[in-house]
Amino acid sequence: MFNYAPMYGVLMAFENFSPVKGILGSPWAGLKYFDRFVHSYQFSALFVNTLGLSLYLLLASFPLPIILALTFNRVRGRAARGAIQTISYAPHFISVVVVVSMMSILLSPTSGLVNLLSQSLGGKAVNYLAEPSWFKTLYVASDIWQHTGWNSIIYFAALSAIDPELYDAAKVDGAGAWLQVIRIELPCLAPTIVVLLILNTGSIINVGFEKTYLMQNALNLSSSEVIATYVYKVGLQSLQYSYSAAIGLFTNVISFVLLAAVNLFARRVGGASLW
Amino acid sequence: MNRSRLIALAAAAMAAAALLAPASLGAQTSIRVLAEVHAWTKDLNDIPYLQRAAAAAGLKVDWEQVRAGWDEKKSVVLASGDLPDAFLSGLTDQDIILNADNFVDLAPLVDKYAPNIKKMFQEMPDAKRISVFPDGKLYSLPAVRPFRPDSFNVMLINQKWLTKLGMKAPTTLDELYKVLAAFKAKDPNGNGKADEIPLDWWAGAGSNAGSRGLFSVLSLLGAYGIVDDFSNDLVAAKDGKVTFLFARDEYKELVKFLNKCWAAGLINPEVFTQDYSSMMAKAQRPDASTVGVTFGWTATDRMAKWADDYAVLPPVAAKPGMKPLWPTNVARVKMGTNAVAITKANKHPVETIKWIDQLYSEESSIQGYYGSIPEFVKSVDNGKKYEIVPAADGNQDRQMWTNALVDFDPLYSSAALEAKTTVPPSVVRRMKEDSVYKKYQPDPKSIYPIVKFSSADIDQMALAKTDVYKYVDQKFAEWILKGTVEQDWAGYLAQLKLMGLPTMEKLYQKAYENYYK
Amino acid sequence: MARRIKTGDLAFDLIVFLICAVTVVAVAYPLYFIVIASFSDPVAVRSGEVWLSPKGATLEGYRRIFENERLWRGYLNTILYTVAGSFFGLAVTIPPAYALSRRDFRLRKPLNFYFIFTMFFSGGLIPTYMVVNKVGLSNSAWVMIVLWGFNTYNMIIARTFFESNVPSELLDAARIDGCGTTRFFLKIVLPVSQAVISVIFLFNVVWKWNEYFTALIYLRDQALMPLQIVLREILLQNDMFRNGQGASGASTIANLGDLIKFGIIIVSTVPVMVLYPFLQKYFQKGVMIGAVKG
Repeated sequence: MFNYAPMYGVLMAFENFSPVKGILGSPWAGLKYFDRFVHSYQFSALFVNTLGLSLYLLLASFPLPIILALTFNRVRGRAARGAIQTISYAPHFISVVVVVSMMSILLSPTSGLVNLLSQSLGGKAVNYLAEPSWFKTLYVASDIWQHTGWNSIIYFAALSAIDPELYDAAKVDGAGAWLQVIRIELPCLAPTIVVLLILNTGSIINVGFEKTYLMQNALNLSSSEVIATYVYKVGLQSLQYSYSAAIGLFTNVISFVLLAAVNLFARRVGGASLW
Repeated sequence: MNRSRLIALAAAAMAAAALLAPASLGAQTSIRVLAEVHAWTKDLNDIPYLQRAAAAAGLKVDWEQVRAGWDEKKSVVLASGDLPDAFLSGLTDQDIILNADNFVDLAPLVDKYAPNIKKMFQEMPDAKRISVFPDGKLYSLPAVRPFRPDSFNVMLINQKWLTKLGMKAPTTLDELYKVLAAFKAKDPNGNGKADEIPLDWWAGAGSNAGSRGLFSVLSLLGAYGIVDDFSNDLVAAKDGKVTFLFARDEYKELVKFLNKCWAAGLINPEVFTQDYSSMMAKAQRPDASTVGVTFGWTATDRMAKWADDYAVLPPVAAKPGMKPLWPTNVARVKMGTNAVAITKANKHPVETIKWIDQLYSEESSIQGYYGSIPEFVKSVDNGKKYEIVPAADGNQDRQMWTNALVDFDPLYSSAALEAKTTVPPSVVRRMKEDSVYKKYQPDPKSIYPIVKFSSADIDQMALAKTDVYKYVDQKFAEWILKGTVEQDWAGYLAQLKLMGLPTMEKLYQKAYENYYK
Repeated sequence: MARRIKTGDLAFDLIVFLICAVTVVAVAYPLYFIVIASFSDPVAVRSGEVWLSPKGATLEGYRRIFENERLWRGYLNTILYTVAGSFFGLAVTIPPAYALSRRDFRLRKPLNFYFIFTMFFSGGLIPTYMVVNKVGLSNSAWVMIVLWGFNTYNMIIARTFFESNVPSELLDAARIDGCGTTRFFLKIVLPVSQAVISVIFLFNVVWKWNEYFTALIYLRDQALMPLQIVLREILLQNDMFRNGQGASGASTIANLGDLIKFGIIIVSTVPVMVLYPFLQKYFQKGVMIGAVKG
């Protein structure tokens, strides 16, 4: 209800919104703001960076929580498992600001641990944060580090609902650990996997603004400028309510179309669907 | 089920809110003020000078204080039309222009009810000039701050190293280069390690200003006789014509010089990626001083325990015999805009302006910066003289910012007030550092003034500015690293034009002429 | 054959062990780093001298955090909002999730779509603000508890769980025993779904615990502010001076900013992190499905 009642706000994207006149009273601008965005000088670069980053993130990070959950599920000792799990999801709580400043401390070309190690192995010092080619990898790696443990909790919960009888039956059939994973655990996880995959595809265009912005510098901008950070910068120059509303709506429409497409695909292929 | 539950909860909440609301205050007028406050500042209800100002105006002020997240809060309040009676600090020109119908033109009110503010405008016409909006109205009032230097930036050089190496302070770029090279080669900090950073500055990683922000190497542009205005826009006026420094040959020359330094390893290799704290920490290492030449607000702030090793370096010249400049901008350092504004939601504008006028009085202004009388400011002979009480732990800033609004306070610090106030040593030191640059001030007319653009102008420039400055920052860093400025230059200028630099020039020119009209 | 399985199992366990070891090392070291950094001289941390043990040990960061008088009030508020908000979240998420998981529920498709649509399209902050204002929730503890209690993402997760773990035969069997839908839900579905309910509870707790933006926008009263707002304020105390507004001594304070940054992580996350071991018992294998079936 709190989502639908304010829905008339999307009108802002089509008007010259002025707070004084209000949403329903502002003059109509039609597609002016959409047009401006699509034809802006930055558009294609922004689009490529945004999609590149989020696809990379999705592909690299999606399977890991599943593997981690399967792993945890195999650990027998409850105390040990609890400890490892708690540690693994702890980074989830670290704020982005701190993650970024830790990266800059650990990756410093002169005093960072990473460069000191690679130099002692005969490598050359690299200023990772300055290289556009490293930006995406750093972003994705730090994301994996932060959220894999946390994301595995969902899968772990699903695994814990498996009927123990199934395992017993499998053992009687002589199935080893690998077969148990393939025959029992993966099928049990399948619906969750599909649903999360669909949802994640839908949010592909929304890259984390804060981390991207904090990781930006004059040298890596060519690959680190994404739609969210660009909109923020335009907003700094002027309070363009309508312009940012238009871009927001634009990205959401794309997300939704993507989601619907993947959903359709999943339904055709596997009979699973969000709706 | 969702819905009925919500309604029930909402009803309960409203009932609770009604119970919690303060009992009616009788006849006393009360206003709601939304204020951006520094995170150090204590609850405004506990600050005596603010209470006295309100009492003198017979008002009760309900403070809504925002110490974190101001931008978001402000945007929502403005856009939703759920306005307070007045804003204290934190508004930008755009906030006001785009919502101009929501703000009260203060000019007639000031005229009738505000003697202190009127006096400020008479004594400092610039204070009024920077506050008038393009539609000719006065929607907000400025703040004029006490004891401010002329420049935001000082260039610091490690005097101890210079002395040790038997060198003189450089006066030209060539000499500067030689000094930097010696700093790198000769281990001046004597720890046997090549850990000296000959040149360092704040290049704005993780912010939006690149090297255009404060404490930047771009102050060296003064070597070529041009300086920027500290607005992050890199703009100036030459003979009445507005010019963007990043599109000028002098800028190209400076980039070449910096590239030469970079190639010789004289610039901090992390300069473009370090965040502010890392930059500070490198200079303040406990075991050894490491930085040769850099920029900052003051030596004590920038170098902490090594501060006394450093001297303020006067600007160097591009060629021997040339007269260099140093960026100064008295208006931008001393004055702040939009310190206070009254909204149309206010039912008591007269009482409100009387209260605001109290804040601009001499006695309130000195307290608004340094803290309340008698604890933090001593008033001798009932205001004949003021003495700022030095902080017991030596940390004057903490004392100020905890007990006063400081840069968020609407105040007027006149020359007369400064003349009868004694200040603590930290302020004296900063003013002394600044005095080195008195001789190198640019022609006042060449400094781009604090102007306001109309909403149409803002709208027209918004995308151009975003694109242009991003491109400028990118190219600046790239050229220093790769040294390709000469071959890229023509293409760079063409690209800037394509992005809308001519539009920016036109509108900046118009605003400049308006200001001096 | 049995032998092959044995070696297969062994290899599997070896991989399990390796993954656990890598996870622990890769994750634990940076965490350890945060802990020691929160006790170390910030200049030493920044110049890369702190790796294995704290240097220039100091409690200054924590002192600065705990001397803030609003901190404890913030803690209290946050605990209230988190506890109440998380239970409220469960109450409005689980029942619809269950309803939508039932294939015999006729509005299933349109309602699912209705919910998912909101994940992508919303009116934006400002209209939402106006609606909340009109309903009268602004500036009260209720807004922190009630707003965003329902979360589509969580609902979908719960729904998927119900779909695959509460077979319709179970309901049929229960029906024959004369069990109504409500009773079935309370007596059978909920106990069987402890794992997913705990997960969603955990999600809610973490979400509410970290809630900052709602408080910033909708709360006015200093006394209502949750922990996160207070912590941001403490963090910002050291951030303002890069605009050239400070003077002497500002840098010693700016350096404290790092110390405080690391300290705040510890202060604000330890309470939520210790929650997991308590919830863990609900993740027991095969909770009761076997029992119900048998």
